[in-house]
Amino acid sequence: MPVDTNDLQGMVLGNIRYPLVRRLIFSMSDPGGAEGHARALQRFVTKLRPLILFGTNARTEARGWVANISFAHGALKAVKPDICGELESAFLKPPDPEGLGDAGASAPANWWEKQFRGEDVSCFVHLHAVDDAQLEAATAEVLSEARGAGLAELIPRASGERLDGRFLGRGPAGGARLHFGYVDGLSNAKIAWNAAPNPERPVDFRSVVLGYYDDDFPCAPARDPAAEFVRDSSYLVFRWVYQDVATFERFLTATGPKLFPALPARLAREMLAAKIMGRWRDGAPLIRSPQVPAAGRENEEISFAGDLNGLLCPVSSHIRVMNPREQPLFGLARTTGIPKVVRRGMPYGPALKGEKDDGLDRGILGMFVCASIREQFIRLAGWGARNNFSNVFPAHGRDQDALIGNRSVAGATRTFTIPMGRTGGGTVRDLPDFIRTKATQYLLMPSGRTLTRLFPLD
Amino acid sequence: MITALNMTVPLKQDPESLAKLQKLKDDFADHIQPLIDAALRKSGIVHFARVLVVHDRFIQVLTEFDGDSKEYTEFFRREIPEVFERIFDLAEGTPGWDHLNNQDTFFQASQRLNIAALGRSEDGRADQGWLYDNFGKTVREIEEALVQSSGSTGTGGGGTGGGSTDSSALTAAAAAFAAASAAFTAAANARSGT
Repeated sequence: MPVDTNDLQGMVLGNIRYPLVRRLIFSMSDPGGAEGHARALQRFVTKLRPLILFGTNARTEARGWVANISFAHGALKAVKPDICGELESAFLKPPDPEGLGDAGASAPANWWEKQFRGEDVSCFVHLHAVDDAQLEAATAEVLSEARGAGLAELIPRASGERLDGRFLGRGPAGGARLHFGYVDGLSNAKIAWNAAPNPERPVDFRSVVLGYYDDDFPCAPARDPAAEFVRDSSYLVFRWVYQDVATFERFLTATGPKLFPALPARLAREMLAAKIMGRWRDGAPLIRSPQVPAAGRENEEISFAGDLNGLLCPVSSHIRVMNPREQPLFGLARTTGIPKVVRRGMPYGPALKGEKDDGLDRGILGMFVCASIREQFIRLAGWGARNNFSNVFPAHGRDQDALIGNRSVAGATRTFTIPMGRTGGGTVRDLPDFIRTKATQYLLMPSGRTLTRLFPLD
Repeated sequence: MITALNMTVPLKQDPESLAKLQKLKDDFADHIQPLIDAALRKSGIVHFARVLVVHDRFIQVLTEFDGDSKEYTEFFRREIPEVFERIFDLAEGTPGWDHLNNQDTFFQASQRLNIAALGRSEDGRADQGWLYDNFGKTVREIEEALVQSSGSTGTGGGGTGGGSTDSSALTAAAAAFAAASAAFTAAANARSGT
């Protein structure tokens, strides 16, 4: 059964090509119970539907701003409880911090800046605009419709600000930069829609949309009629992640020259940044350019088959943990394979100038599209928290992803091993936390057909 | 992080189901145990495992393994579905295997049937209860220590298992490992002041 890509929301197809995004979050405003909640959503979606971008992630000037919409468990339970009960069990519960590695300051008790709880969320409206004026106009229009329908906006920050994502600037080859200085989007593989995965489009669509269950691509619901109801919809994991740029940059400055004494200090800190990510900050993979940055090589194919000991690219570097490619897997992972998620993120907050913390909030508003939250997103997050899925790691399995590991996870080491090479290397034993989870929300992004079944057109 | 799975399945009590249970018990050593054994060896993370029938009222699958249960259940569903099909066919109050045989419902069923031990998990996990663990080492760490001590080739956490190490070497290796672990424990106790 082919996927009708014209029926998919733009975010599922790709990063929506607008420079600004705003995540508006809504809850039910009145104590109307499930029926009242369902009626409010019906009114809201009816008004919003013409503005939802389906079938493309391209910028369409004629339309002005565009929106996508996704729903939390509480909304779907109110609207269609029978179908909702068949959705993946992970979706039906609050995110499990143990599985996600969200300990210490990243624990759920601290999420949403304590302004509300994830269980309060009904839906997200993802606004995409070309400039601030358009974004504000879009916000005013959507808020007006939401209030009229009976929904209330949830503000996730103590400061009263909303969650706005925007590009920070471009890297040397044109790719968007993230706060840690890396070029974004290079490891985000394209989806093979209605075709076998191939080198150009290596992601099987069954790992992205629901309704095509088999053991290689498990998802829930697994069987009709619920599977048919949600076919071509996707789970969406929203992850609000603070990035501690000051700590990161100071770490590079203090540690880079110690590990790579043969290099000039500036190159030594860039080398350490590259070892942490597995790519230079200009995007070039260490496997392809092990000694110096190499703008323009960021899209080259990479393989870890010839670097099993991590001499070029450390085994706990971020891109290698998130996608070990042909690196041999160990234990359970040999059967369950490499989990893949499709990322749709955008940085938020101003760029940090220098290495001194300015106290401002910055990071990434991550969106992860998948067909199984547990088998894809949670499992990958677990790999980041515990590097135990391959024999290339120490047998204790307690090292972490060098960039995104949460060092407060029980038993986690603060160790990052960079095998000695020509220019240096060594073992870092006091790896800091570079990120902090500020919220996680599981959502369902319906296809057009599912949206119509949830909220019939007049 | 060692996790205990105490999956406890209540059994149907009708005559046909009890007859199937007897057949399962009769078949276990020759036909079921080898399948489970092979899957356990392939996993490379399981310390101990056993299957019990308690007065024909319950089947218990008890294992201790490295990691957490999310990936664990899916691994065994994929590796030995025929074993779980036979077990769940006997289960009271559980949907048929056709319904259970997918990632999410099998995970939910195994979680529901898992009984937490009494007491408090030492690493703070709410769903675990207390598990005494003498070594605090993963299966891989123990295997590597054995191999280093004996100079022989271990199963490497995924071999076909059994028989590749002669018994005297293994005994010596085990003794060496026990001594090393005792020293490690003593050192840890000294550091923590206990």
